[in-house]
Amino acid sequence: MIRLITLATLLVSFNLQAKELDLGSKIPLEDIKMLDISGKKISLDDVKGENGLLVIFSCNTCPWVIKWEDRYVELAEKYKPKGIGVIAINSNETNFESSDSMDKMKEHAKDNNYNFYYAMDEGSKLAREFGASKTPHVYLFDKNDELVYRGAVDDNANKARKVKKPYVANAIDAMLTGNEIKYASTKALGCGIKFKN
Amino acid sequence: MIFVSADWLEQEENVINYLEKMNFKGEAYIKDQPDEEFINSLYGEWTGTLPFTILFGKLSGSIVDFWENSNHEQRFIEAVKKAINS
Repeated sequence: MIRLITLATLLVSFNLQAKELDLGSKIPLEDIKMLDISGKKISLDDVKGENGLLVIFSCNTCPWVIKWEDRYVELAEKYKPKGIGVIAINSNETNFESSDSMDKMKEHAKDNNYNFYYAMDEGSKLAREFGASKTPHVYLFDKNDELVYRGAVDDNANKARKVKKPYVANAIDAMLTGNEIKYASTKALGCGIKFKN
Repeated sequence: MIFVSADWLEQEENVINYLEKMNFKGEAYIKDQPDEEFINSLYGEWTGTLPFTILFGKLSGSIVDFWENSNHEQRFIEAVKKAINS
């Protein structure tokens, strides 16, 4: 018993970000309004489609985002017509006055042909609630607003043509056809979200 | 101290230049495997968030502390002391 308590104490004292949202959880903070690059205030409830919602925690400068973001565009192009709402969320609060300002977000979205919402997460509220720790960090919800996939875009950030496991695309396809999602939780490298403590 | 770069292999030269600029004298490695395998082989509890720091006890070899993202110098000092004494 003592050993167990000691282990628990140690784990609590270590410094990981908040735990990732559990699979099966409902969309957190879905009514919170965020400023989108369109100038409109939108919430996850506004964005979600009839068949689901894809949330990508992202930013303007992370090398992993730069490598992966062409695939955000492909995913939105393919799945928005199939009733999946798509949004990228910038939670890098310590950079909101510099590299992740709204002006820079607009510029970045234009330069990279973003075809989805890109909103600013004031206070990093959503990132904290989702347990998102890095960019990119992806969460997919089904038509019942339940989390069915979390993790990476696919298994090769560096080279799109060498992807063997397109995790998000496979998860959406499985979700839309009522099949089991083979990889429902994955890991990849990414830049730590810049939380203001 | 061991430095592990998670950059892509084609950036090896930039990594070496960076380490030289920082006057780094320890062992250094660069990732050469898929992300998930790399993350889990270093430490299964790590989510993949960078930067990542992990400290092992000098005698025990057990993990004494770890954290994701950046941290204050004081946290490093305390963790190194803990590692030296365990």
